[in-house]
Amino acid sequence: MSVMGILLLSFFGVLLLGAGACYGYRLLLSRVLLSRIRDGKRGVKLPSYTTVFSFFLFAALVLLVMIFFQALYQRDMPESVKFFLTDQQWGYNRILPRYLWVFTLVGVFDWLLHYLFDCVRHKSFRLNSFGVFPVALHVILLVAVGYLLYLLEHVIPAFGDHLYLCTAIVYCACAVLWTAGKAILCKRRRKELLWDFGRTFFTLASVLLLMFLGSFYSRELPPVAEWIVGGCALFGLLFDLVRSSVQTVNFFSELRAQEEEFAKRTQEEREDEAFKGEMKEALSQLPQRFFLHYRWALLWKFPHSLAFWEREMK
Amino acid sequence: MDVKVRLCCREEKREELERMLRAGGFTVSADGELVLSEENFFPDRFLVQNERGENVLLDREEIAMVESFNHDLIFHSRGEKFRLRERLYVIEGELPSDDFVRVNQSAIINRKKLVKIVPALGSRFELILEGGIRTSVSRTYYAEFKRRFGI
Repeated sequence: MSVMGILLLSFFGVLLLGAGACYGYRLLLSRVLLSRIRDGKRGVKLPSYTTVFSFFLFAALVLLVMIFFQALYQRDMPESVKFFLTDQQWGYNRILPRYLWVFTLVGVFDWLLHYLFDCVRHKSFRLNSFGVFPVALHVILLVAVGYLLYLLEHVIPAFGDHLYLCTAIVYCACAVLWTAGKAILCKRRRKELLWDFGRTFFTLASVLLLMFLGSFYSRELPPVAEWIVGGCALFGLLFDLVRSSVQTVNFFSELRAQEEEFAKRTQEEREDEAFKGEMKEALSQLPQRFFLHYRWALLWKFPHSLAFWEREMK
Repeated sequence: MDVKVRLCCREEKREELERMLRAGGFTVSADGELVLSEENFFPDRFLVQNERGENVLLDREEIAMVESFNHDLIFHSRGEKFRLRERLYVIEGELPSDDFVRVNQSAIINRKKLVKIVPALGSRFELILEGGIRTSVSRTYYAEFKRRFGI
């Protein structure tokens, strides 16, 4: 059996095994937890359901990345994919144009700084801040900007000569826009805003320094580094896609329950000022929650829900 | 001004306290908005309103869940709902923490009435109580819930 065959078989095997194991573990955990809560029994601390689920998800994603690289290695990808993943100017032996790794590297670096900044802010190493999501988001944004610059290079050749400087400028502009957008859309408190701006400007300064230092050195990287960075980007993207989809489904089921509860209210209850205030607050939090956690899937559902609440509040 | 006070204390102390309060110009009433409660005292019964608007006494042991709804509290018990105009944190203090657990911003459950607990993704537990009442342990209360039961 070919390498690709083994990888594909392993991938589907992990999916099936994972589905079975998660289902079984959920049932087992449900029984154990019930007996511990109701009867007050004590026992060993069990891994959470999310941990078990994440383990199989991780295994499946690793296999998926391996399949992707194997496909690249075999060069049997479609022409359209080949166009986006290879730099034709340099030949097919160089996977991913140089812009991609530069921008990806900046994304990962920026995320690390964000994480450290969060740790300082909360005076502890919070695992919550160590999300894959920020990496994926940065990588996607930066890769998109990277491609834009790559295309611009064909129009303005000077772009290629000042790669690091251009990267820094574009990155700074993106970061400022991003922070401003977050500030407006999330309606954050002043103190939080201050932290957000502080963090962004600290990151900007570091990125600028990195870019200027980088401009003194060669912009070439060995192909293996490009492979690693590309793999990380893809892994982050896939992982986050699944994670945020699950979160989105949870969010909308919660929202549906709220809508149902609202529909049960009598007219008199709806006119109650305190209740109105409560609902207005919930409504004002919707864009924030969506903006912070549920960017990916079911985008069409959000305007629908927003319209529902706005209609009901009138 | 007539100030209504609700007394929450042991029976042996009640008479004396009522007398003292009346002497001070207060009215002792079961629907008083001010609550004078004795530390570490948990009432066995609560005066609540059923769905027909009648005042009834509800045994603490019969309560499956207390949830806040608008300015009221809804007591779920034996498949029925009872209403009480009170704040959730006040009732939380009147329920023994051995049996009653806060699971989210608006609900307290009786652990003895738990029928099913389903772990969910994203640090949550779905709970099903007697009478098919559903609620969930929110992310905020998840860690405390786990610590409390050693799970």
